[in-house]
Amino acid sequence: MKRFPTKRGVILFGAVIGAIFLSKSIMKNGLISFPKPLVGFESYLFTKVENFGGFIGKIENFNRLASENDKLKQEQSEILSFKAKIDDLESENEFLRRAAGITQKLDYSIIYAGIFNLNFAPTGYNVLLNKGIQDGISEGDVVVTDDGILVGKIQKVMQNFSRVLFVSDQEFKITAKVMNSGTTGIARGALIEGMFLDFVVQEDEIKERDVLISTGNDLFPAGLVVGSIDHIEDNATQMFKKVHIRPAVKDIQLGRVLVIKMK
Amino acid sequence: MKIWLTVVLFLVTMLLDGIIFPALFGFKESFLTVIFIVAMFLYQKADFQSLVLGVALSGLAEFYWGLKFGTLVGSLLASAGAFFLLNKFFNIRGRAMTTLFGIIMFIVFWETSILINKIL
Repeated sequence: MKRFPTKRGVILFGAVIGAIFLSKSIMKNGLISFPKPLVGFESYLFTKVENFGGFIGKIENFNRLASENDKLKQEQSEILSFKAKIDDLESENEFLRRAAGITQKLDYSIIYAGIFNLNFAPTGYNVLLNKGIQDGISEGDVVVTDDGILVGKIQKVMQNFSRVLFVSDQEFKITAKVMNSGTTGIARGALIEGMFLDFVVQEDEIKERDVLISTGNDLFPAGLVVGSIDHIEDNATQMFKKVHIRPAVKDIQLGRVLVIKMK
Repeated sequence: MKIWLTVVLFLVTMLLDGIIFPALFGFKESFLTVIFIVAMFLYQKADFQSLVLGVALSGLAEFYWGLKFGTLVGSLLASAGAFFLLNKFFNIRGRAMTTLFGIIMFIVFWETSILINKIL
């Protein structure tokens, strides 16, 4: 290794520190902007590559299709009865709303967007959307897939792109409940480990493969799919169970997403 | 290695890291870009020019990812500082030693980034 020129190193260090303070004082959110064709191209590339990957995956999975078909037929009959039950509950819900004088929940407006970058940085997952301030996106908006699977929420908005706080990020928290059960808790991101469901007491009814959905008791709409229970560490000496969640977003394609406007 | 080639390789790494890996393989936990910066710095014998180039590439990654300015640049300087400090006490020669100190540098880089991000 060569001897490092200390004097020049100190000057570089000083220049960088100065630039950091300067950028902190003069730059505000929304100042950064990419050339529109670049964002468009990258978003297009992401979707195309994803489609290609999905196509290869489909070929690989061809042998499994037959057994899955049988399984799906079985599940279809279960879903039919479940659907009938939902239908009944919907009409009952509507009746009760009318009786109690509660107006129907407001529909959120939606913006279609595409992801053009997804990687892991020291600050957490780095998910970039090709829509920004000029498209009406604002901080706190919720990002979901067209199947209602929660991807994250908008953390920072720039002129023509925005940064998503991914569900697996450590800063991410959402109140979630186990579908068809009264068990609720706070789901929080745990980076590569997926997510954890906190505040589930020993008496709460919960098992592996249960599906978790948002409750709507916080800044997220109700009924979004958060993930499924991966495994539960049951220690009777502890007050709460340690519940590991596999985020639903792990197993899906993310090229195209929806942004639910919350403001 | 020529500067233009390093920049091209860096852009290709970012493309692989951010688009190809997650879109084609569904791989969401890639941190190739950060590894590239550290590896490039060590490959170019950790001289002043490679540090300046590393700062420029880190700045480019920050800009592209929409991170706060200094998150990667500051942590690169901190990890380079740690490397030079270790270089004063240990004789870093040979591939094995360079790789070992590269890993240390990477860990310092990663942890400092998290810290700087919290401060900024």
